[in-house]
Parts: sequence; C-alpha cells; structure tokens
Amino acid sequence: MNQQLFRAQYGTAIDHAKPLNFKFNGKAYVGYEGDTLASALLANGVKLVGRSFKYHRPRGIMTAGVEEPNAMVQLRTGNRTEPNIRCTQVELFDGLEASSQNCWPSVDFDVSAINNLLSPLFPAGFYNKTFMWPTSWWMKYEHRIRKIAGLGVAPIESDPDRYAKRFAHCDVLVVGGGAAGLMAALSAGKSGVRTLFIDDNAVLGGALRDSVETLDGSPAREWVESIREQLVQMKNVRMLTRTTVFGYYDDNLLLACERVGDHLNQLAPGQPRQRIWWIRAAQVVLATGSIERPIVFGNNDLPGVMLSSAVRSYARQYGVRCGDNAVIMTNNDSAYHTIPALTEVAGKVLAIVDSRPNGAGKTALALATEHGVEVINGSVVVNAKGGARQTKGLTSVDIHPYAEGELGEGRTIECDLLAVSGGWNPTVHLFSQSLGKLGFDDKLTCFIPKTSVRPQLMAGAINGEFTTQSCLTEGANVGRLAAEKAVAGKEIALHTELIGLPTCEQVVENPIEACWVIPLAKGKKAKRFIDFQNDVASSDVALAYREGYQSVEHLKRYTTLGMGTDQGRTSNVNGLAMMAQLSGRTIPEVGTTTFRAPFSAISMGAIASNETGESFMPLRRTPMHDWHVENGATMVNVGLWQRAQYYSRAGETMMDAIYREGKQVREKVGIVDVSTLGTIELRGRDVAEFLNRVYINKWMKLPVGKARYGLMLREDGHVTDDGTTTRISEQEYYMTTTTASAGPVMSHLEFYAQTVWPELNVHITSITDQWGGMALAGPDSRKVLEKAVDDCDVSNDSIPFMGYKEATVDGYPVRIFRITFSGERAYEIHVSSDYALSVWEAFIREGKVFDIITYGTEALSLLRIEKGHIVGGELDGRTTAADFGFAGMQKTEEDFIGKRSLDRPGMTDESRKTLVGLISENGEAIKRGSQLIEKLGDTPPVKMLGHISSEYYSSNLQQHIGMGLLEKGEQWMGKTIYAASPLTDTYVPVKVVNHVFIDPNGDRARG
Amino acid sequence: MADIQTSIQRKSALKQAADQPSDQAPVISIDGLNITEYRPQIIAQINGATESSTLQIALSTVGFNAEQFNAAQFDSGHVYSCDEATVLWNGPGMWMLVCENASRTNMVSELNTALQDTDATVTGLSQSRTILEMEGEKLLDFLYTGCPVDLDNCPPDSCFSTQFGHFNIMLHLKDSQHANMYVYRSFGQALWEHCQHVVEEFE
Repeated sequence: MNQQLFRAQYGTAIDHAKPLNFKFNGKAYVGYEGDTLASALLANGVKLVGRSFKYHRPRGIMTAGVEEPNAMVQLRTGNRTEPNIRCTQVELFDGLEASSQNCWPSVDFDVSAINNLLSPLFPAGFYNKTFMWPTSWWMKYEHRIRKIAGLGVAPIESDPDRYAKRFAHCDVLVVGGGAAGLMAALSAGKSGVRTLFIDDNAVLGGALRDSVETLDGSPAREWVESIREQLVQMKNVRMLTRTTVFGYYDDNLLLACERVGDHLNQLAPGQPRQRIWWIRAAQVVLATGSIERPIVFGNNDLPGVMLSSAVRSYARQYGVRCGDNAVIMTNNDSAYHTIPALTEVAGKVLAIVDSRPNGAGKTALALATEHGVEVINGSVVVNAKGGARQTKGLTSVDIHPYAEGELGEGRTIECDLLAVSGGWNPTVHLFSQSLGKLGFDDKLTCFIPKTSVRPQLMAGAINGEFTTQSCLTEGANVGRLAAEKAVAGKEIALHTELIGLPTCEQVVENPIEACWVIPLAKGKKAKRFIDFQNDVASSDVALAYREGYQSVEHLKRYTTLGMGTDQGRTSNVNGLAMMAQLSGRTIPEVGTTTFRAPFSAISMGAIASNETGESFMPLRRTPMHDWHVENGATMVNVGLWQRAQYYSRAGETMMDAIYREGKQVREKVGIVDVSTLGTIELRGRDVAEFLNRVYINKWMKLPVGKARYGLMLREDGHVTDDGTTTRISEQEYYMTTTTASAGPVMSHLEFYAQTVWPELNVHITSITDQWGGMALAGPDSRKVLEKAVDDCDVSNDSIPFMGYKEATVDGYPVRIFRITFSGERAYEIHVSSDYALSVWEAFIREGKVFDIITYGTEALSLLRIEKGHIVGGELDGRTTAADFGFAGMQKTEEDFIGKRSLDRPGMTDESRKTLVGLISENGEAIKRGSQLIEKLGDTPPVKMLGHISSEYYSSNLQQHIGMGLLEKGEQWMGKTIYAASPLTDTYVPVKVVNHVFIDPNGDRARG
Repeated sequence: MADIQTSIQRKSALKQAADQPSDQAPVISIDGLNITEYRPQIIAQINGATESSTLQIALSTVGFNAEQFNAAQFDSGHVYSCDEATVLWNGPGMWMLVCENASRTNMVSELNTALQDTDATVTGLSQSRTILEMEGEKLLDFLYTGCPVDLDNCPPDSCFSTQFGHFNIMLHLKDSQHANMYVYRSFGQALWEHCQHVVEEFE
C-alpha cells in the first residue's frame, strides 16, 4: 500500500504515475520513478537510516547528494550486493532492496549503541593508545574492532555484471551540468570544438533543479531543457549524464565513471552496469559547483537535522516534506529560499535563526515575511534534542542569542526538522587533485581555486560565484575561452557565433558571516560533530590540539577528520576553523590537506572494466594448442603461453603420466611442442661480429648449416640467458632463447644493435610467432624423422649433432635442427605456424609404429634435470659462466658483453657457489627451495652453503635428484650434506655429485 | 626453401577458422560493425630501408612501382596501398609489405637478393600475424573500448603500434569506418574472443 505520508502531489523529478516497489530493512515501501532511495525513504517517513561508525549513534539523511556522510546502506542482495552506498545517490528502481549497515540486531535497537554511553572512554587516538600492547594481541583486537566498526559487507561471490571501458578525446571537457557548466558547454560547443560535457546526475541543471527562478522568462528547468536540446543537436558535443569525474591526473587525463545500468532492475544482454571513461582533454572547464556546509552545535547528528539545500531539493524535486514543523538555522541568505520550498509541500517553518546580527538581505527577508516565519537574528541553535534513544529523531532545539562568542538566555522550540546552512564550500576536489593551489576567501568564508597548473579553467560556484547571473556569465565566457585555448596554435577557425546570456532575476543579498562551532550552554554536555562519517567531534579536535597535533596533516591523521569515503565534504572547513580558533591562527594558516582520487567511491568492477580473465592476461596459444587439449593434455600457463603440462591416460595420476613420458623418451621416442621458445632472426652483413660481442664464446667461424650453443652475460658479468643460434645462410641466423627470456633477450639485442653498435649492419626481428616448433627426442627419433620427411637423408653424417637441414614433411617445408634439451638424440623441427599442426600430426602418424608419445613441460623438466641443463632456477641473475663450469667457453682475446666485470673480486672469489648435482640418500624427495647445510644439529644461525635450484624424481634413475648451487662445489664431490627446508620441516641427506646424471659424455645426443 | 606453399592448406590461428577453407573466414557481425579475419599471402618485414629509394628497389623487384601506390616517394608514418599490396610504415626504416599475390612464392628471398647492396634486409612474417579486418560505422566506438589513441584525429591510412585492451597491436586505420588490426598469431584466438565479448556491448 502506498503510504507516502510525507509526499505532496509535486516534484519536478518524479513521475507520480509510475510507482515503484522497494524494500528497506526487509519492509516494503513505494516510491516513484525519478526518486532517489533517500527521497523515497523520506517520503515514507523513514528518518533513521543507519548507525554511526564509532559510537553507533542513530543517523538519518542529512544531504541530497554525493556529500552525504550518514545515510550509507547495503544495496541489493546476493552476489550483486554492495556496501557503503549513499542512498542520496541511488536512483530508485522497481524491486530495489537495501538495508542499514553497522548495526545489530537492527537499526532501531543496536547493541553496540552502548559505545555512545562509553564514548568518554575512547576519544580520538583511543585505538592507537590502547591496543599497542602486547603487540602479538593486535590480531585479536583487530578482529573485534573491525566487527564493531564495520562498514557493510562485501560480496563473497563473483560479480555477475559486466563493466566497460571507453577512451575519449576532446578539445574541451566541461565537468558539471549546473548553470555555469551548461553555458560553458554551449559556448564551447557553438565554437565548433570537440566538447565533452559530463554531469553527475541523471538530470541536468545542478542547483537550478531546486530553483523557482525564471530565465528568459521561463522556469529554470525549462531553460535547462532547452539548452540540453541544443547540445544534443550539436555533432561536436558528446553529453554524459549519470557520470562522475572522479580522478584528475597528469596531462589532463581525467577518469569518469558512467552509471549505465545502476538505475535499472535488470540489465539488457551485453549492457554494462558501469563504464569507465579515460578522457584526454586539451582544456578542462571545472564547473563543479559547491556543497553546503553544516554548523557545529550540540547533537547536530540527530535524524531530522539536515542541510537546508537538501530540504529544498527534496521538496522541489521530489515533493517530499522532510518534516512537518521546521526551524532553519543559517549564517547566509540562501537558507531563506527553503521557506517557500517547504511550504509548497505543506511543511511549516516555525522560525529562521540567523547568526548574523543584521540578518538577511531584502530578497531573502521578503520570503520569511511573506510566509509569516519568525526571524530570530543574532542567534544560533545550541543544542538539538531527540527522544530517549534518539531513534525517532529530532523533537526540539535550544536557541540562544549569540554575540562575540557568548551565549545569551535561551528558549526551546519544538520541531521535527532543523535545516542548517553554514555557507558554501566550492567543490574543489578535482582542482585539488590536479595539483591546483587553493586560497581562502575571507568574505566568502571558503577555499576557492587560486593557481592552476594544468590547462584548465573554472566557472561558477567553484570560483565563489554563488548567484545564477554570475554563474551564467562566467560559464559562457569560460567555455569560449577554453575553446580558444584548445585550438591555439592549430589551424582551426572557431565559429564566431556568440551565445546570448539569459535574463534572470537580480538578487540583493547580505553577505555571509562566519559561524563555525557553537559553544554549549553552561553546564550542558553534548557531542558536537564535525565529521559525521568518522564520528569526529569537536572534543576530538580539542584533544588533538592539546596533544600537539596542530598541523592540518596531524589533525587529519590523529582524529581521522575527513578520512571517510565522503572525503570530509561537509566537515573539513569546520575542522580547520575550530583548529584555527583553538590555536589562534587563521584558517589559511592552518592550511588544507590534498584531495585525492577518487572523488567518490568507484566499484572494483568498474576499475577492472572489461579487462578481466583472459582479457586481463591474454593467453598465447601455440599452433598445436587445440590438438593438445583434444588429446588429454593438462594445460599450464607459462608466462602468457599455454603449454601442455602432461598427457593423462586412463587411470593415471599426474606423476604416473610424467614418469611414463620421461621414461618413454629415454627408451623410445617422444615429441614435445616447443613453439613457445623465443625465436629471433638476425640478418645483415655483420651478424657474426654482433654475436661474437653478445655471446661469451666464438662466432666468427660458424659455418652455414651449423648451430652453436651460447651464453649471454649482462654488463655485470652474470648470465642472462642461454640458447642456440644457427647459421641458415651467409647473412641469416636463427636464434632460440628460453621461453621466459624471449622478450628480454630481444630487448637486450635491440639495445646493443641500435645504441651501442649502430655501425654494425644487423637487423633483428622476433619470429617466434612465425614458426611452430616441436622436439623429437629419444633413441628412435631418427627413425621417426626418416619416415616422416619427404625423401631426405637424415643420417648422422647428413644431420650431425648441432647440424641443420631443410626438408619437407608431407610437402610442408621444415627446418631441422639437431639439438637436444633432453640429452637424447633429438631434432627440433621448426615449421611456419600455419603448417605446424599438420607437421605435428604427420610425426604422430609416422611415429606410431615406434610407440611415439607426446610429452609435456613436466617431463621436459625432468629430462633436462637428468641431463644437467640449466634453466631459470639456475639462471637466477646471480650466476656466472664459471659457476656452471663454462669458464672455458669464454673468449680470452676478444671482448664481449660483461667480460670486464668478470675480473671483479666477487666474480673470482674461490668461495663462489658452483653448480652441482645432488642425490637423495634416504629416498625422500628434496624440497624445492631447500638450503644446503653441512650437518644437522648445529645451533642456529647455521651456515648455509648453497641452495637447491631444481629437483625431480627421476623415473629413469629411480632416485630423487636435484641441482644446486653450492659454495666451492667441487670440494664437496662425493660427500653427504643436507637439503634443509625448515618451512616444511624436511631435512634430506644428499650426496654431492656431478650435475650431469645421464650420459655425461654426450654419446646419446651425438649418436 | 620457398617462403610460402600455395598448394597446401594454411591453418588460421582462430579456432573458428581452423577447419574452414581460407576463403571462409569467421565473422563477428553486429549492426554497424563487421570483423573478419584477413589472411594475406605474404607479409614481409623490410628493415633498414631508411631511404625511400631503398623501398622502391625492393618493391620493383617484386613487380610493384611507386605509381601503383600513388606515391612519388614513400614517407615515414604513412601507409601505401594498391590492389595487390599494402606497405605499412612501422618504425624508422621499417616497412611491412602485405601482399595478396600468391604466385611469388620466393618473394622474401628475391627481396633479400635485390637489397644485398643496401643496408636493408627482409624477414618473412607471412604466418606470424593474425589480422582482423574491421568495418562499419561503430568502428571507432568499438576501438575506443581499448585503444588510447585519438583515432578521430588520425588522417586516413594511419598506421601505428598501440594497445587494444591488454593486447599489443598494430593498427592500420584506413578511415573512420575501416581498419586492420594486426596481432601476433599466438594472441589471435584470445583477441578474437575479446572482440566477441566487447561487441556484445554494442548489440
């Protein structure tokens, strides 16, 4: 049943013909299309929305926008639930469900409300002071504190919605859709430049939405609509509503979040919920308006105490009466406009309490007189009162005359609404994010932009222009100026059509007079809140002052003032003013902190946008990828590559499969996909010289048709990668690198070719994707190769070890390299990628009679450890060629990268760790990452002689084996030491042996 | 070794095309945007051609001349096209020749022979790229979902290396409604799936 008792048949933003059902704290309500959750709750008489962060005090709706510090709710349910959502920003939709957060068992009766009674025991800094000892208990404290001071619940299931991302470029970006922003966008648009116009709300107009002013003789909202229509017609203008610009970064990069589907119950297929915009703007016009600030007095957080502008918004836009009997407290003229707004929705304003001795200007005063409202000048509200538990909200206010810091005799007025206006703070957050400097304007009693460091202009209330006329004028001028600046220096002619300014009413105002923190009446006690979201009261600021935290940065961190998700929009200036008052300084002397992105909270989904899953980390697939998947391979990510880890057969475990694969390669033949190896083509007259300088060994005499193994060092002498390079023709070389080092090696080579040795004629091209590769390994590999190739001699004489030959397989041209990673007789067959699958299948087909198997990366790893080949575990950036026993490879006469570093004392130290093999002596597995120690039982710290770099169970040797780097490795040969892994409590006795476990003479590989 | 074999079937990196004849490319199609795979016969990377004359030597070797490309000379930063081929500038002294003509099976070898007296060399990359051909009025909006370049301000036939989402791509932007997106072949399937996902937003 529609029980919107506080709703009038009025409201420019809502459609009374379209009721919407929603639930709050499990109870069903009805609102209208166009409502926010806040306006719908107020229309239904719901004043108590949540509990405060620290003291669990009852809190209601205070504002009508992004500055709301109190009314945060848990929105939606299940995997779409989201905590800490301001109900002032939630557009109502049919079926919406929301609940209060930070309360138990209910918002009406919250057990933790006892914190309020105990509040004298935990002021600012309480947690830091109290829970420091003993340190080890912090984890216990933290759990409880987090539970009590909770901020809603994050969903534990994945977010089912879709998020999107869009880049945009423009000449002029206008942020803010109020009077100044509209005129700036119109002016820039009519100049002909690319204009992007963004507003946070669904409906344009800013403060004009709450206004009954006339512009060019029409109601303000009609004028707004006419401007909107003009902008829509302009092809050079893009308009985004429901979009918050939340970040302002270097080079005029701004980020915005468009709430594409947040106002919908259900998204259409493919429709994103939110979209992040990455905007590059030549010029930015900030027309972000201003935010009304409260005045600090006793119990100013009671439900029913609201900002005056919010009361006006709810009345005018939503037809909502925020209270039946209202009192207004102000220090400026703007609050007087709330009188007619509230009266229009059948509310009664009992009195307007103006702190200024001389009260309001003519226009404002006329509004009070016209509606028969008592005006109490030179007075303030000192204290607000509620019921016993204060959950029913405001019941009365105490009003006292106030002059020169002294309170006079007070009186009480019973009321259920107090509308407060302490003046206006320009919304300078984006300006501040852009590193612009603020200055304090004493007349306006607020900070305004002073010095820009980015290509930007400000228009309207952000500049302290608070009248409609001045906003319109400044918007029009700034829009044109921004367009001119954006095209300055370019051969672009702006359109010369100038826009006319609408006529509007002239307002005569009395100036604002500062009113920050009202003292309490003598003998009275009450909390006076400055930061509502973080429960920071005036007493906390006073404590910070007494304890020496007087710098604005200390004040912020000690009290958490302004550190909530509202970024202190309603609290910062009041906090600074109080500190200024206490310390005898001016507000600018106290200073300001820096606002940081995001301006308002952004969902994690929006930040990730569409770049999740494989779109976040795109996978690379080899040409044989689908074959592996279809033939039982378990795939594994190796960097970005997907590789076959092993191929399971029925009933096999992973280790069964790996041991079988490893054994079959040693005994018969196997084939593995090695397309992921980095492949680099080097062409040019000077490639041999280039390689001679890059590798530690000699390259000048490598003949065509031969491959050679090489090691590359960094400039510091440590090994960076190893691999083979084959001379394909006189000026063409084919280099392979490890999979992981493909990119770094390419960069390494390019760096030297382009910047160090530009005189060498060498061109380097990555051809990893051009070629698919497969390694055919095992005693029968030659037989399979012979059967598969088309009429080609593959004998040992024709393709000897480290030889190279071109042939065809089923008509496909292939490159055959006689190189081995497993230590067995082996051939790497490389073929253009589009043909690779066909060639792979040909080898499988022809290898069947030889019981060929496919093997994966695990067996590959096992085989290479058995053979003692080095890879990433050994090439850890700390090892030299000599550490691996390759000192003899190093050229002595000629230079190469890293050579000079090899003479440094640390590189020639006799105690360096060298590569050794290790065999488990008790049959236990050697743990990866184990440290090598001499013996067990020594008192810590135990000297660590080295570490395990690779380990596996060798199915061929039937032993647990490993490789490691051991201090003076040669001296330990044949001795037993221990592989110690304290983390797993494993201590395995290992015998130190040569690191080549199988075929140390290389007979298999060469045979 | 011949650079290409015209008599045998090439397999696309795209799963959807793996078993299809090369003339039946997979398609992503929505109102205002079509994406399909473009599979030229030859891609040759010409390196070290810092002078326009070097490139002209290379092209004339394989039967092209500058007039066909409507170019008095080849300037860096540009793309030149004719019916059979496109020449894309992709770095200082670097040009990518993308060619339809299937009869020149030894093009890379011929080019290297022709350029042996210059500092330039040629590398065959015919099977190293997946190329997505895109056309339609929603093209720029689609590209802006992942490409940070100001595409509206790019002159016709622009070519540049950039990103599309987390993919490193080379984009040949022919005009506001036509583009070819080049990506390493191994990323082809992932890029295709990413495009399939992104276009849902435009349906």
